This record gives sequence, structure tokens and C-alpha cells, in this order.
Amino acid sequence: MNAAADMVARYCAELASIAPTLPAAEVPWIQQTRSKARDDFARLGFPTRLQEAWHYTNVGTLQRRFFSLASTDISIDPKAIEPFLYTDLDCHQLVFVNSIYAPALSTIGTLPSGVTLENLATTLAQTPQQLEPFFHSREQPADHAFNALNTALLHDGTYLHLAPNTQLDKPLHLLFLSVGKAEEHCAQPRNLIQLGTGSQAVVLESYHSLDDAACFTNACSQVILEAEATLHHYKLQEENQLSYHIASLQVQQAQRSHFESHLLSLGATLARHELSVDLNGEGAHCSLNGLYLGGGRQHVDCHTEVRHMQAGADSRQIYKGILDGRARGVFNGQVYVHPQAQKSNAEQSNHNLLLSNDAEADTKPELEIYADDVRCSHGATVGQLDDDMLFYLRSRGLPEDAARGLLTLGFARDLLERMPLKPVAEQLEKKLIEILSQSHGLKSLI
Amino acid sequence: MLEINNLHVRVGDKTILNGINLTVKAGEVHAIMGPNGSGKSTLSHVLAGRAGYEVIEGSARYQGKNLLELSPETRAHAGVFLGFQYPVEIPGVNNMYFLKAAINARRVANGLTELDAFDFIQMAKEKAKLVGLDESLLQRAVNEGFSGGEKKRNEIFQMAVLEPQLAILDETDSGLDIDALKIVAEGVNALRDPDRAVILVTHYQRLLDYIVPDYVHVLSEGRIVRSGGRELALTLEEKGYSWLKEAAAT
Repeated sequence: MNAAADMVARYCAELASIAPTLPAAEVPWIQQTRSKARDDFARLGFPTRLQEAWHYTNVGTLQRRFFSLASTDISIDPKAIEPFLYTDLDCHQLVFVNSIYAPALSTIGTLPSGVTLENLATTLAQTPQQLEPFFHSREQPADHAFNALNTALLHDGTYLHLAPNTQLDKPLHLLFLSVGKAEEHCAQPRNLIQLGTGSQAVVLESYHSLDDAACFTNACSQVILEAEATLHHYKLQEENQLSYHIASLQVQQAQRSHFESHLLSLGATLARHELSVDLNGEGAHCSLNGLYLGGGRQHVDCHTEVRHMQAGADSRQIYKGILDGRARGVFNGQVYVHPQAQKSNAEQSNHNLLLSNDAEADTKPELEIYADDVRCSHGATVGQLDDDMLFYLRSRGLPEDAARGLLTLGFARDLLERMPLKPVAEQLEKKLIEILSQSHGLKSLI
Repeated sequence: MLEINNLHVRVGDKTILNGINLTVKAGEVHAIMGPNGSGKSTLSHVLAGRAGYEVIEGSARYQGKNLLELSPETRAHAGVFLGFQYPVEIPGVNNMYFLKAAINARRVANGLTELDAFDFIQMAKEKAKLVGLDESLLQRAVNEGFSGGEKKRNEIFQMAVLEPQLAILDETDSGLDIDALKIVAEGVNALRDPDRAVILVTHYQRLLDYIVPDYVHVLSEGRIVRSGGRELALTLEEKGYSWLKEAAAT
């Protein structure tokens, strides 16, 4: 056996030994779901660059080391999480340490009737049957190794369910913290969100490191939106630069539902964000916004997949990358329009700003359109800061580095402005300024 | 204040300026006129420090310093201001945010304390009023979606805020209707001061009805071919630039 296969075998052995201790281990369908996923992972192994979807992203260094799956009991000083909270935002807050729920750090306010919000381990232990809608496809062969790995461990994360015509009264902040001092750890949260007809919610996922140890986060979120439901989803990824972040967000949308996502990817040595949206109902709408920053030797990969399955659905995608140092950014955006999906409207754009000669951006739109009465557009650019703009700012007295910082922030600004939740947009902007100030003299001037 | 001596400038392998001589003293307003392609904009850009121009001969000294070796921002800190003929649109960069950063960079460079947000906004609003710039434009991205006239007013507004010692206005009058032209002129006139100087680069003499220059220079093929007072502009207006060539031929 080669080293990669050895590592897969090691994960599978640990999964098998942990399995009996996982919540709902005695529930037959859950037990089957996990063991099938483990078999899938054993069969699939880690993806290689020979696979189309991983052509630009090499997980070689990730699979050369073992990240423990065993649950850890780590207590965290509440002060330690303060930097990661949204101070001006009144929200429900679930905190996870290495993907294990930390009730002492969490605050769930009084919930409106019709809202179920709890950590997934609780749901698994008490009412696992509620989770069945998320696992319909458990009989089919899986083709996604990381999702299989996540499902094989299915243990904790979030369960949010809204009955029809219910509104989650406050945004929900899911804070995922990685700690790796004692042992390099793999966090595998699973977030399951189902909004009933006409319901509305706002969810933020944020991922941070609490120390400078390398961790591996393999996150998986699933969203089911019934007719006319609306979800606004935010994600901030900011783990330390030794860590790995692999995540998938899968969204199923019924007719006239709305899904809006805002991604800010900042951290990790390797970050991969997959977002797939199935527009299964007529008139469904999704708006996917992403901003990714890379510096040093960071690699960040955004994969989107939007499937127009019924008529009259809308999808809009705007992703922007800012790449410095020797960083590499990848955007791969797939749009599929089913023959039945007439009057579809799909827009996609990806713009990349390279701040150094050694940074690289790969952008790959993939459109597969099988209906004839549709509007689909896509555009991609890779460029540098504009010399005329730089000169204009400098001629008014801005030092070159500040001018570059201001233009870089300007490049990102429209994505911040698109965020309806202003306290979040403001905090993320501060974060961007902080990051840009490390290489550009921006902060002192603003 | 500014002394340009035998300045030769090349862009790529094309020589654009062929020995410019010009002395501008504090308190003076100089108009530089000339046909398209005579080198007017090149002169403005070289003085402000734009990259891509190669000085092959000659010098430009500003307040006793070698202007040409200073970075654009250092020139700005020393009081040089260029009003652009085509102000660039900068999406995502807020006008006020940028201008506050610019003024504070200059203040810090000159050993002054930074303006706080409140003082800056008060001052900016006053200046906006002075140049007739709609206040709502202050909070927009720099020049983005501005009309031609609004862009030029924004240039004059920035000039009023930055209070330069030497303002070089590159065809600030082009594309302006008469009302906008008057406002721009008022902005420039308000800046006139015994300690300041203005170089007006213009194709038409119309602007000089509102900003009366002390000197008029005519630029042709990269050289100042004629200098005079206000009346030179009127002669040019009457006889056209072709008159220069005829005059040169005889």
C-alpha cells in the first residue's frame, strides 16, 4: 500500500473504533449511513489532481499527516472567544471547539414558536428521525471523499428547523474554533438547516483558530429551503496559516425560495469552499457572493455549482480574489441548465487582483446549458492595480503603499456593500483593513 | 517657485517636449495654450510625477528642490497639485475617505497633527459649497458615475481642500458649460494668493475670461514659441493656432 492509502486506512480504522461511541449509534439508519460513508471514503480516498474538480488544488500535504478524529474535552476561557464575536449584533450563538458543542460558551435566546435550534449531537440523541430529509441519498454511491469522511463521523454541529411561516428572530452565529496544541485535530462539523415554507433566517458561520497549531476542518453544511423560504448565509474563514479548511455547503431550493450567501475567505494554508445550489423549484433565486484573500503561500479554492432544474429561476454569482505573495486563488464556477429550465437567468463573474508577480489566479467558468430560452452570462478577469488610479491617488498625497491599500479595499468594497447585515459588513471591513495594513500603510490614515 | 530649464521629455522613442523654459513666481497665474499634441498634458504630467516619461535633458526646480526626482506624493506634500483633464473613476474608494487620507498624509509629512473626522467634514462641506459640488457626491466613490462637469468640480473641490502652493490645471475647462466654467474659475480665483501660483493649461482662451492670467505662453511642438500677456490669448483666439505657424515661417 502507498502512503496515501495507508492514511485513508488509518482514518477508517479510527472511524470504526469511534463509531459505537457516537450519538445515535444504536439507530439503524444512522449507523448504516455512517458505515456506508466510511466505506465510500475508504473506496474514494483523498482526491487527486487527476480528478477534474481537484485539478487546481492539491491536497497532498493534507493527506500526509494524521489529524485525530477523537473528541476532545477542552475548556476555553470565555474571554478567548471575544475577538470572534460580532459586538454590535444581537444573535443566537452556538460555539464549537474542534466541532464539539461548547454549551458554556453558547447562548441561545428564547426561541419563537416553530423554531428548533440545537446542537446536532442533541438532535441525534433525542430526535434523529428529524434528520432523515438530509440523508435521502444514503443509498446512492457517494463521489465526494470529504463529505463521506464528514458523514462517517456524523456527530455534532447544528440543527436548525423552522416551521412554515416562521422567522428566526435574530441572526444565528455558529462559531467554530480549532485547538490543536495537544494533538493535531480534525474538526468535522455538520450543520443541517431546514426552513419551512415562507420562513426566514440569517445564519453566520465563522471559523477561527485559538492557537497556532495546524488543524484540519472538514465542514459540511446542508440547507433545505421549502417554497418561498429565505436564507441569508454568511461565512468567515480565518483559521491560522498552518491549517486546512475544506468545506461544502449544499443548498436545495424549492419554488420561489431565496438564498443569499456571502463568503469571506482569509485564512488557512489551504482553503476550499464548495457551494452547490440546486434550484429545484420555479422562480427560485440565489445570489452567491465571495471574496477570497491569499498571501504568502496560501491556496484558496472556491468551487460553485448551480443547477437550474426548473423554469424561471435566477442565479447570480460574484466572486473576487485578492492574491499577494506566492498565493494562488482558484475559482471554478459551474452552471447547469436543465432542458426543462426555460427562462433561466444565470450570471456569473469572477475578478482577480494580483498584488505581486508571483501570485496566481485560475478562473474556470463551466456552463452547460440544455434549454434554449435562457439568459446566461459569465465574465472573468485577472489583473493588477490600475496605474492611472494609483497615480491619481499619489498625486493627491497618498503614499504609494496607502494608495495600493485603498485601491485594494476599493476592489473588495462592493462585496461588503452587498451584505445586508451592516454590523457584520463593518466588522469584516475592519478585518480587511487590518490585513491590508500588514503589507500596506493603510491603517494610520483611516 | 518653479523654474523649468531646457526640459526635454520622451515617451517611448518619441520626444514630446523639446526644451521648455518657464519660470513661475509665487502669486502668478500662467496660462499655457497650444494646439492638440503640442505637449501641454505631457508637461502637466511630468511636473506631477507620472511614470512613463523620460527626462532626457534639462531640469525643473520647485522651491529650490529638484522636482523631477521626487515621488508624486512627495510633490503633493510640498504643495504641487495636478487637476486632471480626465479624472479617473475609482470604484469602491469613497471620496471623503480618500481625501481625508490625502490631507492627513500631507499634514503628517509636514509635521502637523492629523485632522480629526469632525474638523475634516466641516471643512470639506464648506469647500464643497464654495465650488458648488453637490454634497451627496462627497460620499460616493471617487468620480464614479460623475458627469464630466461633476468630475471637474470634484478636481477643484479637492484643490480647495488641499490648498496647494502650485496648482497645475490640465484642461480643467474642457467639457464644461458656461455655468460650470464660472464655478471652476471662482474656485481657482479664491485660491489666488501672493504665496501661490497657478498654471492653467488650456486649449481655448474662454477660461481666461474668468481667470485672468499674468502671462500666456504658447506651446507648439514641445517648445514655448511665444510668451506674452493676456492679449496674446486674444490674438490666438482671433487668428487661430495656424497664425503661429505662419508667424514662425516668416
